[in-house]
Parts: sequence; structure tokens; C-alpha cells
Amino acid sequence: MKTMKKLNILVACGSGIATSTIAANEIEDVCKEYGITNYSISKCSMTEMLGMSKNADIVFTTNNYRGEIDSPLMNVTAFITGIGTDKLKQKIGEKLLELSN
Amino acid sequence: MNFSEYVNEKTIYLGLDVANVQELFQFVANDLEKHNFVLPGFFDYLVSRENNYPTGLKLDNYAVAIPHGDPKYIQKPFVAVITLNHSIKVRQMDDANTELDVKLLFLLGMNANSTHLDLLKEIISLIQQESFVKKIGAAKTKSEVIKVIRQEEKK
Repeated sequence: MKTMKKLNILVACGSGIATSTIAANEIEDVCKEYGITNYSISKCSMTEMLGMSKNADIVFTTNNYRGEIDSPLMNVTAFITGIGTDKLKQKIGEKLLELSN
Repeated sequence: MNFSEYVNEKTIYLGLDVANVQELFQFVANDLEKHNFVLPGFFDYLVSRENNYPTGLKLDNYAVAIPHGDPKYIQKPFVAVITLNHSIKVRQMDDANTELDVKLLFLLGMNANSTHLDLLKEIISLIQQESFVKKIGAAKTKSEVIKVIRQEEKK
């Protein structure tokens, strides 16, 4: 069996406390569903995001971010509105699998 | 750890008349400070936070906003339920170029100890239910708001 690379997942929102907590919880569920076990997940505010993204394999945000970062970036506001979450979960699951292999 | 534990008559604002977000935050922050829920500085933080990272949420047939402050300004955790007589423009969380017409806001006053996942989940899931949002929007009294929230919790 191929060993999976450890994923460093970063979840950012405006304050780093509320919507990122919700989103991080959903992303953990996705990891479980897709059999991704080797990961760490951290939360931060949007202002901390740029610095912290340097050590992240992927960054999820609930706010829109117009700047450029080196890691892949995905918007996860759907976890807050509840609209289109199934599709989003699939997109996240596939992306995480791709990154961990 | 229930939503209703964070809402009381002092954190419910019904039928406010304000022209914009700034005016709303000014009024509510002042009042919350008077009742020792928040510390001075809360208003400034709310305004800058909303400018940089807006909190408007577009749901199927309606929009709400969930402004929240930095935990360091929160003295006593609360959730403020705010309804407006006339809608104001709030920019959308995931698309700051889009403005939403908002008549209902949940201002989340979380401190480090109250940012529990379960509470946040409960609030978010209620906001996603149009029937709940409609009931809150139609409430005429503060006790009605509290009743609606308690009823939803029992489900």
C-alpha cells in the first residue's frame, strides 16, 4: 500500500473563530469519508492567512480572497449557507486525495 | 450549550431604523456596551472587520448577515438578534463585490470559551432554515423571538 503524504490543511475566515470552525469541522468529515487520516488542520484569520499559508498544502477560506498564494485555495462558504455542500465536499475530497498521493 | 442561552431581551433588537451598516453597528455596539456585553473598541472592530471581510450570507430566497467581533472585546458572550424596518446593504461573505439587502442579522459575540462548535453549528443550521428566519422576521416582541428560538431547539 502506498503511503499517503501528510497534509497540512489551513482554514481561514475573517476572525479565525466562527465560520472557520464550522468549515474545519466539515472538512474533517470529508477527510473521514475519503479515508484521509494523515493530516493536520489549523484555523486562522484572514490577516494571518498569508503568513500561515506558507506551511499549508491547501487553504480553505469562507471569505473571498483576491490575492495570490502559493498553495491551492478553495472557497468553502457553502458550508455556512448550506447551498451546494454535497458538490463542494466531493470537490474537496478529490482535491485532498490528489494532494496526498 | 444552547443558542437560547446566549439570547435574552437585552440582546434582541426589533424593527430598528438605520440607514446603513455603520449606523446599525454604532447603535447596537453602544447598547451592548451599556449592558456590559462588550468593551469599548467593539464598534471600531466590527466596522473594520465588515469592511475587510463582510459577513452577508446569500441563502435560497433571502439573505442574512452574521457580523462577529474579536473575542477580546467580548465581556459576556451573547448572540444579538437584530431585525430592521428597512433593509440595508451588506456585502456578501464570499463575494465582496456583491451587495445583499439584509433585514435580519445575528451578531455573534463569542469569546474564547464560547466558540463551541455545537453552538455555531446550531446557529448556522437555523439561519439556513427559511421557516425559522421568517418567524424571527415576523416576530413583534422580544419574548416571541425567544419563544421561536426555544421551539426550534426542541426539534
